[in-house]
Amino acid sequence: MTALLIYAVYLGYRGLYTLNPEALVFSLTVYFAEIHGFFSLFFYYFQVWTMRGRTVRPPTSSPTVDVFITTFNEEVDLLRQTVRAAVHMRYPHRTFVLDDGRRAEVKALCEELGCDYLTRDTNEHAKAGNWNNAFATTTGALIATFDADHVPRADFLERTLGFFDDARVALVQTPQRYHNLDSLQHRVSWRMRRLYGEQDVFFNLVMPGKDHWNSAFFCGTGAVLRREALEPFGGQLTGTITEDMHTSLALQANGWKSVYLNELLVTGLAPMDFASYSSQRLRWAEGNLKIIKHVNPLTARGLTIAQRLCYFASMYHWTIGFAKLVFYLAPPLILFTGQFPIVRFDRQFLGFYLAHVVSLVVSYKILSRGTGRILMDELFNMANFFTLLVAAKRFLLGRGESKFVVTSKRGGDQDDRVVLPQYVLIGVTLLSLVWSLLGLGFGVSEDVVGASVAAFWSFYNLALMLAVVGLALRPPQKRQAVRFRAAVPVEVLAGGDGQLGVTLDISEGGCTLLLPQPLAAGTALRLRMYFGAQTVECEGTVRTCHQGRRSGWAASGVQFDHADVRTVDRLADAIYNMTVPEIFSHLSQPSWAAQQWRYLAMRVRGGRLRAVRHETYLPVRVIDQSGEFLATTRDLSASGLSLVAPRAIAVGSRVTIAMSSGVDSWTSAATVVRCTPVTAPSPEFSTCQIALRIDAADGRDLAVMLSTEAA
Amino acid sequence: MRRWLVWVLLALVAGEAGVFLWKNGDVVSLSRPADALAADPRFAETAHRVLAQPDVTRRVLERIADVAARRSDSALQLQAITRIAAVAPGDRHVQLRLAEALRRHGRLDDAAVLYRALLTPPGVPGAGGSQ
Repeated sequence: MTALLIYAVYLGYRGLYTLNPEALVFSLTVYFAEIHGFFSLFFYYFQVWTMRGRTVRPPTSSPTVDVFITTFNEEVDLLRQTVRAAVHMRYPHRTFVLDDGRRAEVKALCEELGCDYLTRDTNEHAKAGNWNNAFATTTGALIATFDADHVPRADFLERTLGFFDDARVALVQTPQRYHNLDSLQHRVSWRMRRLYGEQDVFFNLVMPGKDHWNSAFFCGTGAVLRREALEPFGGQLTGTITEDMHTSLALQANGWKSVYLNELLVTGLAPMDFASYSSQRLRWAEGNLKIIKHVNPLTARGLTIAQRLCYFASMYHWTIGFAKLVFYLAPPLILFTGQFPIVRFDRQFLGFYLAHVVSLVVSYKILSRGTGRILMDELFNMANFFTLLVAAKRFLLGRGESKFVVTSKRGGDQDDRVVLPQYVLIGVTLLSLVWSLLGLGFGVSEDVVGASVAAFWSFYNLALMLAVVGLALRPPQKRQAVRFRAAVPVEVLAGGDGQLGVTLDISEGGCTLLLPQPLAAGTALRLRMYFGAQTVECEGTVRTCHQGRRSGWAASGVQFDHADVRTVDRLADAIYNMTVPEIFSHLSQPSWAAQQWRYLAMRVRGGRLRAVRHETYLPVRVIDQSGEFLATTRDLSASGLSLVAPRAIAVGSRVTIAMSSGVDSWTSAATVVRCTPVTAPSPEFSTCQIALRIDAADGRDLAVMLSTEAA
Repeated sequence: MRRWLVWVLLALVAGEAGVFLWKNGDVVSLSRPADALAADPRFAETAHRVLAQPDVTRRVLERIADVAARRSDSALQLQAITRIAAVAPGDRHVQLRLAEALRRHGRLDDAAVLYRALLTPPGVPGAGGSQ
């Protein structure tokens, strides 16, 4: 509230005292861009001020459920895992694949996996039309809907259906999380355990905030809808290319409730390349803006004031392109012309401006609750501004309307054209800086302070522009399947002298395998991988091998040679049930920095000192009274270690652990000090995190191992 | 960064430098060393063109005044210092230089008025430095 008040006072001061009559058009344009920012901030704060957390309750009735998976031209391999996951959801249901591509191979896939195949003669109204076609021919009381690349967890229906006990709930939406963390819209620091997703602010803050006002809306996938609520429309509304939000608005105007459950129940694929990303954003922006031509949330009947504001905010958000363009062009304009949008840059202005910026940053950080990151948000604003301008142009002029285009999730080739607007901005900004330098250098101008301020903002914008260009021109992703960072213990059964290794990453198509001894490229392998208590055996061929310079371990790139599609399925099951949840769990743990801070605080308080733990992933053989199993360490210290094991061991039990390095092996007796179950969506992939205290090593300190392995 | 982009940017910068030179050629030519300017027979012509422009920075005016003094061109020096005095009306040092220039140019009465005004302590009616 204070930040908004300060912003309002700042705008008042700007309007009354700082508009520059000598450059009135420029001055007013910048001023209106600032006013746009005020309303953006107001809408954002209004929505995230109070967030609603939902408690899952099991359903008290047993409604019939249909599952719709919409597809058009996605690869069958991609679709296969989504359909399998949907079929394997535990709550009784029927799965329908809605194929607008009319492909025989998809029909064959449905027959193989035991689900229904639906298609139609035309592609009228694209995805919504496809969905409505299925809606007309099915009867389930509830409909769960997924895009072709969105893989649901086995407990998806169990977690969501309970909300429909309230007869007025029309839809339950879950967040869209993406498991390809190397996508364009993600930034990951594994060491700092930080994950930034461009849509995190929306799904972690805005949607729970909207849910508080009963205005959470359907996002097209990962949702369950009530048939009864949709029947008046014959399914989803089809007048726009963002039928999900359009339908939600109509449902809520009819008095239906919506629920947002912020729980990781489905993961999908985010666009890998800039062209696909921009195409998706253009569709969202254009569709959301055009909804207002069909249903204006500010005037539509049946909505509460809060709902009106929430829906209008979702549309207003897509108009930010204009304001951003003004802020990107203002510094170059100042440098070229020497004209300022403010009449004078004095201490008074600086005071107002700094108070406004500081309050804005602080309030944003507080209300973003650790999710929002201003620089990253600004980076994606820079990436999107031109797309949003195009969408706004189409909205205002009503020309060049785009059709629904399926977003490609495979990386495309590098294409400079997608960042042409950023190139133009880079050119204009650099030229303005050079112009200003020439002017100052030859004495044509002498406003060093003004030029410095404009140059500062120019360099800030330039850094964003270059970052966007770097993002867009990343090397294209050539892998067919997403590689997941995972430490899976692996036994080399043939081709590698029975070595014990661990994966650095894994996909259905291959892995990077860390082994004590290097393998020659072309070596044929037979591997057994341990996913908790489940094992997957497959053949593979070494494609590359790099000897670690410090650790002594060799990293081999292995391509799997699957003779049987069931092996692929088993790998996919393991990945989506164990690896993906573990990745998200890892990235939601306290960051490395937070852990170091806690350790320091403990030392300052004089608490019991624990040895420093090193995050290390090594294969370890564990022998207890019940037998032997393979596990992977999660961290090591001089006095203990923790590992992920396929089964529980009673606290206090004595075990023997054996580890090997590239040059040596190490055994020790150890005592279990903690055993924490880690549940997976499918129980067969559940594991236990076990903490062990080393009792008696074989004469060598684990710290010695650490000096090599941890590296 | 793409190599072609760097070349395009360099070409644009070169073009921009050309435009800058075309637009501000006279001012740029006045940035040469004072000795070279004093020896340049076209200096007076260039300086007059610059002085005819409405917005000239103090740095350029000082350069013209300095070189004009070296060339004993009191009329040009006076013109330049008058412009400096206009952009820095409160600068007593500039007023003194203006008085000197007036004297050198033979406008002794005007110079005397200015000297007197400068000798009068600030605050006394008729004091110089703020005219």
